[in-house]
Amino acid sequence: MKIAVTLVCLFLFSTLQAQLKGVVLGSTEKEKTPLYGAKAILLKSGLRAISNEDGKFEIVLPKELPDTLVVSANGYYPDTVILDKRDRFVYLEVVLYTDQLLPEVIVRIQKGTTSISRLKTLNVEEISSGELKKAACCNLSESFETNASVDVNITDAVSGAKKIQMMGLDGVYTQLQMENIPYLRGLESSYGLTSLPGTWIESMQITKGSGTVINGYESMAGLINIELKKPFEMERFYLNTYVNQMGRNELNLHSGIQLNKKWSTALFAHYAAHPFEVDSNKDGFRDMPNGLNSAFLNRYHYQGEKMEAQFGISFYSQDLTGGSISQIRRDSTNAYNVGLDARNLSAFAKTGFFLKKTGHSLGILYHYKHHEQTNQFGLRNFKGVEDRAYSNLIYDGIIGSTIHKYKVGASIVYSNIEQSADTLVDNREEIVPGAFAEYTYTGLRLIMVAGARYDFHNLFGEQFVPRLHLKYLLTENTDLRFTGGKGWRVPNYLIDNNSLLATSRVWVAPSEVQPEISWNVGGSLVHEFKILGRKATLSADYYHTYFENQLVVDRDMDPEFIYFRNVENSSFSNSLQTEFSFSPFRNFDIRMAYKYLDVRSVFNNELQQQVMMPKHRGFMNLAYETRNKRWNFDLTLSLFGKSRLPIVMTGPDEFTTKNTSDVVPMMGGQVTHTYKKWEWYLGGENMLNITQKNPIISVEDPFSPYFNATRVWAPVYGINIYAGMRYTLEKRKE
Amino acid sequence: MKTIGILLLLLASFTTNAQKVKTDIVKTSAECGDCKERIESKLNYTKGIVYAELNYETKELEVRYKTKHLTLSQIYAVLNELGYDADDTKADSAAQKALPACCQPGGMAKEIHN
Repeated sequence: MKIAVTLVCLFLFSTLQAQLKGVVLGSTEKEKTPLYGAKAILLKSGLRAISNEDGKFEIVLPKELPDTLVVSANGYYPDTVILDKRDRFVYLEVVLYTDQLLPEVIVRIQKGTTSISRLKTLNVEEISSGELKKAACCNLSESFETNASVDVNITDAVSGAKKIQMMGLDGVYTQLQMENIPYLRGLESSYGLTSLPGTWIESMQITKGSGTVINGYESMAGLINIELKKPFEMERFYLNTYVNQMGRNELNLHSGIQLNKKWSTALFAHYAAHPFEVDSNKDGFRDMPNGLNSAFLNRYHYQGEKMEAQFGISFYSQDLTGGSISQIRRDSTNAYNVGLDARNLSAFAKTGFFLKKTGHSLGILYHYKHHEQTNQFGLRNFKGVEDRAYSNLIYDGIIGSTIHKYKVGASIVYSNIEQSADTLVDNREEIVPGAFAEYTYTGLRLIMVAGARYDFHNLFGEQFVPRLHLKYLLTENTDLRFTGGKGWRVPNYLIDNNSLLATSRVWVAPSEVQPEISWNVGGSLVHEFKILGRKATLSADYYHTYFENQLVVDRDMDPEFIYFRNVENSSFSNSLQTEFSFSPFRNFDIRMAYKYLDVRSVFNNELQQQVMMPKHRGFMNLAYETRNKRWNFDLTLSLFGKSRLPIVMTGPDEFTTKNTSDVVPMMGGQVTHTYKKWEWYLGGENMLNITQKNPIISVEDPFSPYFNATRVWAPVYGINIYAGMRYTLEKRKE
Repeated sequence: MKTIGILLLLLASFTTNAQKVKTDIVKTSAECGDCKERIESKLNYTKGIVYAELNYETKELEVRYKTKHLTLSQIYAVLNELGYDADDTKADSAAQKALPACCQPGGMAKEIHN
């Protein structure tokens, strides 16, 4: 571990002095009209504004958020909206109901734990900490399990690793970012999800399609932003424990400390241990690797009059051993070892300055990461070292009023990555300076975000990335969105496909590494209405992704090899998702989704569906909370349709006849009991006890040419019961 | 909506015996989300309460409780101690002063109409 890290840490928050714009409409039984002279008041800060003849108002958002905005007018029921930092620069439409109407008709707003934000231009799904609590275990990969847009897949039968997918495309095509810093890329792409404990997360925003240009060029299928808990508003003390029937145990501790009026800090610590060998299917291989993960983060926040700053440092380590059980290791020379070791150090800093001109601000961000990864799959070894530095500068401004806003800026990426596996070597030093601009128009019904960026890669030359997002309010309850744009990335085929080392099939490297370039277009419709007097939402979205170039992994050409090759203008993905949520009775919510995935590329010289990719997927989530808020019940049911499996040999000239997977139903549930500062939870994963028979091919002889642990489409381990506890001391309110 | 509520109440009274569990609506002086959190988190962990839900727009607290453990006046007393008026009973003035601005009597109106 080299800790020779010198940091100049300043980053900038993209939005400092923010102005909220909105319109107040008065609703009678028949029509809605703009209200003149309506009052908008922020309760905590006392800031206020009055609407003009068109019902429009502007209010400067204070630095201390969240705050409650109360909008009132004579003859109407007042309404309140909670505003938080993410609402800076949003356009708010407030509808007040005439007091001639009975109070019953007034919509009771219950903030769902997961909701498609109707305020935002991009199709953004917000996952709050309430939703994250439904998946008690354990890290980022499990955090998506109660969500239909992001799929989580097992990569192989020996490493226990999971990968995400959006729109049927591998997780590497989704840009992950932590508080706007690109995250889990490079060497972390395959196993990084386990490095972020779920309890550290405050919220996540999932954007489908290409995201904003501000944070880089790599969002091709989607963009997931993760917000961690903030020192100035998080718990004073938080303790979480978890244990499951396999003996896996976890501990999470956080503490937010207000040092003085301006400074606050937070400490996060995590460890997860998997001490006992489990081999439930008695095939001589551990179902999950054993070992220890630990993570630590310390972050600081400064809130001044004219500036805001943050910096932090984090450390992560993973030591896991899997493969043959110890009995085989003792008795046989045929023991297969799996080792997954990683060390990661990262540091970030952000500074933001409010400029004198209202609505203008400047932000700078710095990030540095050092990552070492050593993996072993039997006789095959992977070794990787990565150093990455990133800086981004954004200037935020308005033209005249907040109707026209813009962001301009520049970024630079330095990345030095060394990877080797078997005899293959892929070393690269990348320097990518870039510049970007984004314009946002906020009209009454139409909101448009148009952006573009230009990057110059030292090895692959220039790339121009345009992106456009439109949102149109069709009616008061119906939003229409359109998105289109380009994305690209430089693949790291050795780490991106690392779990494919868990087979004897020989890798055939691509003739040369080329950037992967894709275009994504799509649209969505969100309609809100009422069933039984309670809010219901129906949404449908469709996205098409087309690859100008994709590094395709061909597992169909030859059972003895895995080919990596660049495929131009052939690969595509069509993804259709419909989602319906409603509340049949008080405090009971149902969410249902169906997804169709048509993901094709050239495999074995034939344009066909991607392997291990179900065409159909169903999803249902049921949630109930008792009226005294002491008990929560949550149940998720997922259905994965049949998928095509890659060809495989089981012996000399013998092939399996089973080249299609079964339909896999998965059920998980959790009961949580809250009593004052304590919460206890009891839950189950894979409650239908579905497992794949013989997930490993040629398990008796792991060094034969037929050995293959990568043909996994169902869990290796059956029903898993877990229990845990949370203890929370909330921040003191002044 | 209301009829469903009444039906549920009827159902509840058949199964649990109307004498033992009772639902009342209490008019309070609570006006904002902060008050809601304070009142609900106190009452929902008070012995004898089945649930307590505040609608701060109407200032009405819907409370269901077991008459064996609690009387309505005891619930008033809890609310008064927290700093809120409850029906005709008055809030403890020291507790009331300690509440955040929006929870003070007329707190919201003051904020809105100034």
